[in-house]
Amino acid sequence: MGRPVDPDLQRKLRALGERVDADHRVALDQNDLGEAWLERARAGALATVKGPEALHQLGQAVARSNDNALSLSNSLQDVRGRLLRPSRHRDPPWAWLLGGTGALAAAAALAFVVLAPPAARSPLTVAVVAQTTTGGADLDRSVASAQPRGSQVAAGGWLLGVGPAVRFSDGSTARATTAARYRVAALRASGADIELTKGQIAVNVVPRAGNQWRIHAGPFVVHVLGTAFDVSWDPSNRGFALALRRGRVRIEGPVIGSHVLNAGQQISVSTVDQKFVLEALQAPAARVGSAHPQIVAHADKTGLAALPPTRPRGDQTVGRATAAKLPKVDGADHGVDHSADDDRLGAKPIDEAPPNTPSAATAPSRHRQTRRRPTAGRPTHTKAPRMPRAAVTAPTIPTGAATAPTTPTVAGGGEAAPLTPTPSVRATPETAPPPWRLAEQGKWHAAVDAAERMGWSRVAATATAQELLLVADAARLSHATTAATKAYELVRGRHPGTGAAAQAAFSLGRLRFRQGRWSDAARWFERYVAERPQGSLAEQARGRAMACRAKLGDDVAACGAAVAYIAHHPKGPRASLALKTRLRCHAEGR
Amino acid sequence: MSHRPPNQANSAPEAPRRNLHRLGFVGDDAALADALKGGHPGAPAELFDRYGNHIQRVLVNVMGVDQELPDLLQETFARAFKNAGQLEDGARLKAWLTRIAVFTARGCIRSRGRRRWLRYFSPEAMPESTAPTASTEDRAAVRATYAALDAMSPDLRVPFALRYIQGMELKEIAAACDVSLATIKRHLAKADKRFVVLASNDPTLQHWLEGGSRWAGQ
Repeated sequence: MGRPVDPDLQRKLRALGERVDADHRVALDQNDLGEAWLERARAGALATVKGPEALHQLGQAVARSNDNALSLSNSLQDVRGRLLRPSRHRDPPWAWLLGGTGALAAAAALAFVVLAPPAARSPLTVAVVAQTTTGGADLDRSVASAQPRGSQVAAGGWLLGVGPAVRFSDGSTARATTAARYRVAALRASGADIELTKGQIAVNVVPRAGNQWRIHAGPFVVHVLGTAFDVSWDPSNRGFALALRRGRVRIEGPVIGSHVLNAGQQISVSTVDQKFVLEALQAPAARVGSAHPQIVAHADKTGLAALPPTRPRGDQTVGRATAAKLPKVDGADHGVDHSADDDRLGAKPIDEAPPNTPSAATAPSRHRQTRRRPTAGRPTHTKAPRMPRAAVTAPTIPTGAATAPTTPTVAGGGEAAPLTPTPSVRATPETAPPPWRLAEQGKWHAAVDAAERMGWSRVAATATAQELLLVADAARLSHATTAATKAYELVRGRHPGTGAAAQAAFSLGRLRFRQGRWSDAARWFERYVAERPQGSLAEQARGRAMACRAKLGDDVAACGAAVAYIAHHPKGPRASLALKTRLRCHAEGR
Repeated sequence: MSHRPPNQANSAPEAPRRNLHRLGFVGDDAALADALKGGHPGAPAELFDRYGNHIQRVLVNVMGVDQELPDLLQETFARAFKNAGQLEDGARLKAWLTRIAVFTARGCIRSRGRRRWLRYFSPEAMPESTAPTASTEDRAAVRATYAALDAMSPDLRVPFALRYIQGMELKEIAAACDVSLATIKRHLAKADKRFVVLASNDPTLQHWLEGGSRWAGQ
């Protein structure tokens, strides 16, 4: 603790106004008041002395973030559209009468259209077309019994066991392909609601305009838009799975929020583990060994999950039978706007299953050899968007509770592989959040520890550039300089030429600056400027490079840096310092 | 044949363009202000295109990234269109518009302050207040900064945000807040002190403030 600050000195310091803090510090150090000054500054007593420089820097960072946010938003165009929408001309008074009459007529016509029974489309009917072939021993037979073939089914009757199939009057069908328990819960002109409480059914919906089909499987709702798919729900381990053979469906439920699935994809969700697996739909032959590429994602602690944007790359490794080409959506979208859903499809594909998962362990060696190792030039992963919080907290999965389905016949023809609604078996066994997730949550030390445990090379191989940068930032902010340096160098090595690489250069400069290694720091800052001359950190990089050169006593380079700074940032926070440097050089004839 | 911009006054006669629905406006701020007062059909669009970005930045810097930003932006321009007749000096169009934006934002902050007790009954999740592309450090700084600003009165918060985040000059801030230069200096001094006190309780902001002065000192 130093001496109390002399009021006279305080007054003098205040009179200095907004001059650089260096002057203040020198004055304070000479009076041995550094500690006292710092404490008082924290308490706000000397805010006007200490504030401007630091506050301007903080404000710039905030403004930079705000600008980023604005660049991602299109509210400006929305507001423009709302504001400048053509306004109606004022009508003459007599127009009210005409308008009112017209409105009444329109209302009457609308009421007639809405209230009148639809002549073209009557509610669907449904009939049983196949009986139970195998009784589901574990099903609750007290609820209902199998319906006789050809009988009309009223909405609400349960269908049990393997094989019972129903055909709707529009040609759509549903068939139990494993020991299932399902029912047609509601029938409408535009579709039906099918409720599945256990097992797997194959659904084939005939595309029609205005289709509104819903399959309720546990907590999941599948919105069908004219398509063929297998859906299953296992209540014992709360596992949901859907394999889409044709068309497109939208699934709503825990863990995944709302997600549009395209033809040739299948998804398995475990609400217990908060994980899901999205993968290319495969033929039965290709499923054996399960060396197929898959996308594994799991919700983080807050229940936020990521969904993959496209089909995973590397489908060739499993042969042609794995729906290498995803067919276009058939014309059954019927005006439903899925743009919002599609926008969410950014995700982090993981190329390989973890080595100790059953799928990878049993994979043929040829497949392992053909897998590509991550290289520096590989496409970067898309940052995972945030998804809604999962609504289910379920007990742990009882082991061995998965159903053991037989190989059924699909209603639409062809043989389908039974779905295994036990994604926890295939999902990654790592339950700890990845280091970048911890870094995102502000748990910097934990993020660094997790990265060290995981191994930096593995982190670099699995993380995107931004995620790796997050971990590196966490290391820097937790003062783990060695780890931070390594992480930043990995960013630059694996993602050269990207914005993340430039940012890593700047951060490396900061690290060196903090260590007092002026030469290295100057080089990194200058590298950032060379890579991003108009970047958001260019002003700071130029200013810091100038300061580094001045520290080194390299007056010529410092003058050059000062000139560059003034040229690019004539009103920047370090413009006065640059001007001083420039004037000094001029006075010394440099 | 050379292509000329459609708005050029001395353009040669060309074939009429059937798709042209709205007349554009060409001119400086004073002319634009006159056009607004005179009800030129292209003036509102020109005003929005010229200053929409600026006003949006002012609002976001004062308020933070907020769900109500589009509404505030719309409110600002709606007020401007409505009160265009009150603009005396057309050359000061930008400052006038900025003042409307500042008053709109301040009104929103005040009304939120009055409704604050309602939060106990509606614990909805706070929206993400930062850009996903910002660095970790920036995100933390943004969150902490607006948390501190939320604890300040509008009379201190607005000048502080305009000075340090928007980067405006003192005279511009005084004009935007419709107070004298001396008053704005007094408010800023108070805001600085208040913010530093609030920042002393937040490790992120402490790191920034100390880092800033440390850097300048080296």
